[in-house]
Amino acid sequence: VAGAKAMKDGGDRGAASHLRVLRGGLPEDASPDDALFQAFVDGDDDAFEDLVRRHEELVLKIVRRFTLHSEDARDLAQRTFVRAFEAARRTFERRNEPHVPFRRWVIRIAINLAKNHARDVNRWTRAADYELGQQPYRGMEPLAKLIADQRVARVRRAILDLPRRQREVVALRLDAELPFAEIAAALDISENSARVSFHHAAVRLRQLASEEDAP
Amino acid sequence: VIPCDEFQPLLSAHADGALDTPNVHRLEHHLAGCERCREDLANTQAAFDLARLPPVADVERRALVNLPATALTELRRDRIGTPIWRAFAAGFLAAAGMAVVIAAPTQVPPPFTPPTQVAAWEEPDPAELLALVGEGELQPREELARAERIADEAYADVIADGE
Repeated sequence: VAGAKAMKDGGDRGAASHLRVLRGGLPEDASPDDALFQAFVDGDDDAFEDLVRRHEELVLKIVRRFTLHSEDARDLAQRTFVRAFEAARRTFERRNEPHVPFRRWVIRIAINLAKNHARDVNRWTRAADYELGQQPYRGMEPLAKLIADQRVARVRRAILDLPRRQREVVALRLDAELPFAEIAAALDISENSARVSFHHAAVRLRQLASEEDAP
Repeated sequence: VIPCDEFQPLLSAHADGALDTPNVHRLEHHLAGCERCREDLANTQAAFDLARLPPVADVERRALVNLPATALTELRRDRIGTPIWRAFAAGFLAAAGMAVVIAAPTQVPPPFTPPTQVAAWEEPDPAELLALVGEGELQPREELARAERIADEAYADVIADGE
């Protein structure tokens, strides 16, 4: 295919890697997201699926702390991608901009939707009852396990009660495991500001984790 | 000697493995001689271990199996649901409604004009008025009681005759 360019799928799910042939016309430094988005705009629905698959694990990791059920997380992920695509399409069509920061928008939209979801349904109890059994409590006495569960619940709930910026940075760092540079870009703050927010949150969590548990 | 407070932000990042190599070396040099900071590092790592969610479970991944298809459907529904002509039509209707609301109070009803011909007043007859009042007056209580007693006796007689 004249002007075609082959691209290895390097998304979040490495196991599903394969080659796609996309139409040319993009700059040499265009990201895989740009190429897939261009292909989707040109009518390739498979490119849409590839683009969603590249980032769905990331979105899931971001939103799951703020939801009670996997269905809620799925709905938030769907809304995230729909909004990100709409934003990308508007930018692409109106400004004729070949590069759209799709991943950055996905991160930003996901964290905002998740925060709003938790606020709307007042689901701040996620930390208290979420999969606590997966902690390595094997062999613990029941009372020790109860105390450990309470400590986990207290610390996780504290994350949701942190000031907005600290909560966002902690969620993107601890859950999505993003580097500070990417967190800063997604939240539109400086990298130093992201590190400082993370440090303040860490101090708060450390204090809470060290507190004595109620009998 | 660099005070411990200056290492605290590095310590938080190091506890999560997010510190670059030069700063790791600086911090480890400090930690080698500072027991308090070593303790803070251990406590911060413990807090992060508590705060981290468990790995993504299979049930959570399975919920996303159809995500691309459902997202694409939703995306197209959004686009189909609000075409340009529909947006213009909605705007036009909204503007028309506003115009009606604004124009409505300006249509003032015509002023009230009393009829020119009025029916002539006739003086009522006092005897007729008194007769009407008399029909409506209540009978004295004794007369009512007597009438009821007579009626009861007559009814009793009828019952007795029937038996």
